[in-house]
Amino acid sequence: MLWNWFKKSINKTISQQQENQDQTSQAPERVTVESLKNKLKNIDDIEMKEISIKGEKVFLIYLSTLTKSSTLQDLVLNPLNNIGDATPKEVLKNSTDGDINDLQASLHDIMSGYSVLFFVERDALLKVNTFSVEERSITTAENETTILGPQDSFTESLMTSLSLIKRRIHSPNLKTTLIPMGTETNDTVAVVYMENIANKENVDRVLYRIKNIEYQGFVALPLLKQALEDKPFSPFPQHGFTVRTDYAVESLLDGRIIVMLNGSPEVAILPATFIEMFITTEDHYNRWTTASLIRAIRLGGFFVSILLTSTYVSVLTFHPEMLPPQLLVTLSESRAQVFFPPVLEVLVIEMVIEILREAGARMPTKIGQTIGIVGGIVIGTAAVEAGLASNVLIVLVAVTALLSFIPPNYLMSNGIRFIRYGFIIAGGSLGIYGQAIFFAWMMNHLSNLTSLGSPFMSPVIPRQWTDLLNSVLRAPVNFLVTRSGMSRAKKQLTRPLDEE
Amino acid sequence: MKIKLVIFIMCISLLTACNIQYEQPTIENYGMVGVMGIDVSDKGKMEITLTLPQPEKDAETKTQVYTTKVNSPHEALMEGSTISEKILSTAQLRVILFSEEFAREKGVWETLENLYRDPRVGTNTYVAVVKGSMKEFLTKDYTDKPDINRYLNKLLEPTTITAFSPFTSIHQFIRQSTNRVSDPMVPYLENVSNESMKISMVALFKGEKMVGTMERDEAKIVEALRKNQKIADISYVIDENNNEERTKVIINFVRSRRKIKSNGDPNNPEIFLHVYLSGAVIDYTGELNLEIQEERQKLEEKLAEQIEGRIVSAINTFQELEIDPIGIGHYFRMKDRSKWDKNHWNDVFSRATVTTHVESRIITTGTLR
Amino acid sequence: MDKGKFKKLNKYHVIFLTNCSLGGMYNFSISHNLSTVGHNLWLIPFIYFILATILLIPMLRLCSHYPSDTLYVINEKLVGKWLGKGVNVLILLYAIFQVASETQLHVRIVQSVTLPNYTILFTTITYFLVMVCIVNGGIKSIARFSMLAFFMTVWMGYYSQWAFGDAIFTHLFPRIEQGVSHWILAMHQGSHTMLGLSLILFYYPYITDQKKAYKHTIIGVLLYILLLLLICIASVVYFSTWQLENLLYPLLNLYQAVELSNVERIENLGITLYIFLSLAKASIFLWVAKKGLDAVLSKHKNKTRHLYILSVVSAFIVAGPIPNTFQRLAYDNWVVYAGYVLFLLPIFLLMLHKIKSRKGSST
Repeated sequence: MLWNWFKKSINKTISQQQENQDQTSQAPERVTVESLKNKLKNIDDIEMKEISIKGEKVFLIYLSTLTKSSTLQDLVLNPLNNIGDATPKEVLKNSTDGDINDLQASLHDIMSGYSVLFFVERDALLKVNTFSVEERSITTAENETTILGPQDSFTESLMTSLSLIKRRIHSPNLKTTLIPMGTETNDTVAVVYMENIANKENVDRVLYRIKNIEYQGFVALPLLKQALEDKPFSPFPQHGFTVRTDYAVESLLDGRIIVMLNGSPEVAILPATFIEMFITTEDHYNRWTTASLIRAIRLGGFFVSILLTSTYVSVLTFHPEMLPPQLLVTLSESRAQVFFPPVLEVLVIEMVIEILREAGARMPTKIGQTIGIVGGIVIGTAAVEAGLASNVLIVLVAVTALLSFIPPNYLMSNGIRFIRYGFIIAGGSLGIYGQAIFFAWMMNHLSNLTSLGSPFMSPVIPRQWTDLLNSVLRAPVNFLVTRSGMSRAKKQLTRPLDEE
Repeated sequence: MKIKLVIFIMCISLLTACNIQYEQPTIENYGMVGVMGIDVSDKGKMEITLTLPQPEKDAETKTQVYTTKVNSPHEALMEGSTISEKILSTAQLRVILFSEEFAREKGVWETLENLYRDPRVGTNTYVAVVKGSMKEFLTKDYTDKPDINRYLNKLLEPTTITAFSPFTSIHQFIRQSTNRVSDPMVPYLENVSNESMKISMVALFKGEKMVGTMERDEAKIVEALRKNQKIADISYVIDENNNEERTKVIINFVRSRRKIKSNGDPNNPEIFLHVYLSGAVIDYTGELNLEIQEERQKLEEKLAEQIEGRIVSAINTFQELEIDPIGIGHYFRMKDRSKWDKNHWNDVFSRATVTTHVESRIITTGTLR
Repeated sequence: MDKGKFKKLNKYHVIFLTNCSLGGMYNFSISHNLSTVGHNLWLIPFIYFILATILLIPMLRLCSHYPSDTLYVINEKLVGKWLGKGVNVLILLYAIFQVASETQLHVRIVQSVTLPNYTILFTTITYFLVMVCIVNGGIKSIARFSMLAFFMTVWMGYYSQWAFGDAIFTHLFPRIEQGVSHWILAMHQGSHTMLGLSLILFYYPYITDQKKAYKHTIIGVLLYILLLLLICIASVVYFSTWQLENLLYPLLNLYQAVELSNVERIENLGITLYIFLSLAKASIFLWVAKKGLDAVLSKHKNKTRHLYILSVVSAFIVAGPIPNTFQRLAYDNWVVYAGYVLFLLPIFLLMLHKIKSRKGSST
């Protein structure tokens, strides 16, 4: 139902766009000096120089902000100076012909960093790619740090990011499809996959979806990722995303498809499973014992994090009989000072934590840390003394807050925090029954989620038994011989078994 | 689904709104009754004493005690709630006490059934009988103990040292008394000094009424007969060399196993009890050299004799009272094909010839020989 | 939600759909319902299992003749259009009352044990909201939920060790004291747990591997019978006959036997986790009812609004101002007898099918 609605809305936009395109394509404009000047007026960083090559009047047009003068000198001006007897096309080795009848295309080229030579008398166009800008260097991933493993991360430049992948996979089977994206931004999306591993159906589905998105332009990949999801209303992310190169390469080798957007360091991994939101590549670098332990903590932490504070609420409000005698005395002593009902108490303290987190994230790093410590300690202690919260609750909320940051996937940890409020309110209104019914809804929702058409909860919903070896527990490497069922890879085995 | 989600959230928030209107009481508004003591009163009523912990820091004493004269246990809660600043609740009820007088004269069934019906009362709540006046028993200042609710609860929790007592919960009491074969036993508490109480004996019930008591030493053996288990330390005074010299032995019984056989004939009932006890000697004042196999066997035989004597006396008491707290009837019933009910069994049991055979083994004698 | 392929239930789906269509909240009262045979009640699950294996044969035989039709379509094909519609309406009513009875039992227990200060209205509303979400995803969504439900609740079998720790095992000794009438009465009273068996008639066309459907269904039934056996044995050794006869929900008291050091009164948790099994069973019935309404009103076309209509109707039966005597009559008599009829209907239809096919071949 939701998907239908989504498709409907997409179809609507597509049809609207087509109408618009029909209107513009009715009158194709020719490139003339007047039309160029008309279109490029009020763009002050446009350079439109009139030069003469062998006596012929030529306009050189380029965007000075996207082209360094040295590049221009090397690629265009110097060859033209030493032209001798040859034609300009022969001198400019990496130039291509432009279509004189398509003004829009030429404008697009200019705006993406090409230098265009317009031969007025011959009515011809030559364009040279002189795109040269300052780029951020390749740094370590700040938001997804690991101790072991490669430290480089993707950058905002699509070409650099692609090169980081191609540095690791030297294979003609690594396919890269570049698709223009965004009606206004005219940016580039890259779909990367291993042709001999990735499922053809999945690749086609990704390409189909990307080609059908009509939008003015995505400023960053997380936004594009949402447009590619099966159920945009869900609080949970349905595709993986990372800035780590090793994770991306690992996913490619498993048969996943990677979507990259120029101008955004993150890459999206499609499809992904629920359990992968709790997995980092470092698990594979660690010994299997440690990795299994940590994974179990992460996944257990998910359930504790969503249920702990709401259980506090429901037990104190509805089920005091569940407390053992010692705990009953402690809890009722600390609760006796508090004037809020437990629901409000928990909501207030959770909100305080949320505010602290938000303040810490927005402030400059140095102040942010101080705020965290000051807020955490001072507000915590003071809230207990002022009778705003019981001291048991402060501990519980702190634990939940810490646990919610355990998942390596940032979007997942945000999803957890959101769903927790649902549980608190459900627990406050109907006790453990409310929690259970909300939990049932959540489980049903999760089990119905799909990522690129495959069930999101795999391998809990059995798809392939071998997936269990690399899910909550990570089996020793010797056992990990099959690709995950989620990617529905063409080749199941990652290495030949001994018998074969 | 979007609309459904919105409706769902709206409903939930609606519920919360209602919730605040009702002012759903939370943990600090409840008075969690921990102990309920029931005594006889005039005009066929009962006198119920409730104790509950008082967590408020300003309160001088840590327990609240209310005594009311009512018709049923829940009425006492209603009465108590009007006096206390809290809403009394049975959710944390852990101990139900009956005075001996009440248990002997009025019977405990009606009260227990009422509490069993209440889903808020856990079925693991302990039942015990108290000597003397309930009000006095519960209002006494046990100054060196934690508050009375926790003290009683801890005291009645099974540990190895008090393993002679049956530790009956409501569920077990009801099961035993409605069973077609056996009868309930509960611990018997009394005040020993101004500051302490003690599980001094075991109270025996026939149906719903208390009919007698049993000493601790016998009770230990009866416990060993009830099921295969670890039981408490037992001290014996043995006539070792048949020369009137008394020797003391304390045995730390590691394990007990029992086997009950019967012929299943209601006209001429015969029951055979075989008890196997193995334990370690921890106190010994005699002169036998326990290193030597023969002498050790001698002590084992003497012990077995002693234990047998206790079992026989206990069984005799049961037969006189026509009760079966051990549950021998279960085994008899397997073979008896006649129409079975409790009266039938009580009658058969009182006529039965009971033979016992006890085997005891000393596993270790400590580091001394 | 995958609405792509028509046949979408794999073997795990079939096993757990069958497993969850049995029992439900009636597990709570099963040992009370069977108590007319006293402590021998633990033998009844075996009889149920044998009966189930026998009853499944005509059902699956009938289905295999119509591999892509639900019972509603088969009815219309075999009995005739209008008469078939009449039968379908009756089945539809049966399914609605099953949903209502399952819900009612759950919200009643929740209300009396965990939420004594509330009326059942709010719990019913939330229950139905979640149920609509589940059914909305189609039979595969229900199958997935059943699978989750099974694994979310099966670990609670561990808690039975407290009941066994305080057990009188001699209760298990079979003493056949009661007459045949007692046994039949007990099986009739406990039959609520097994009525969901006939639902295979409705989701059979969605099964991918229809040849092995019998095997998978039997595995599902067996899983449930094992659970039932565990409950029955635990209650036999833990309760006296008086308690079995007088306790309404013996499973609740079995939960109360659990003593953990950090949490007490685990029955709150037990009841609320049972919401998974309860929701799974009720949503299968709601799905059947929806298919029924589709069959009756819109010529088997899928209409989502039918689902909303049905859930409002059954929520009204649960929480609406309907006299308690009527509810009891409906749940304890009508539903059970209708369930028996649904067991026997396939045999009748199979005979009709034989006659028709013989006629078809002769002419």
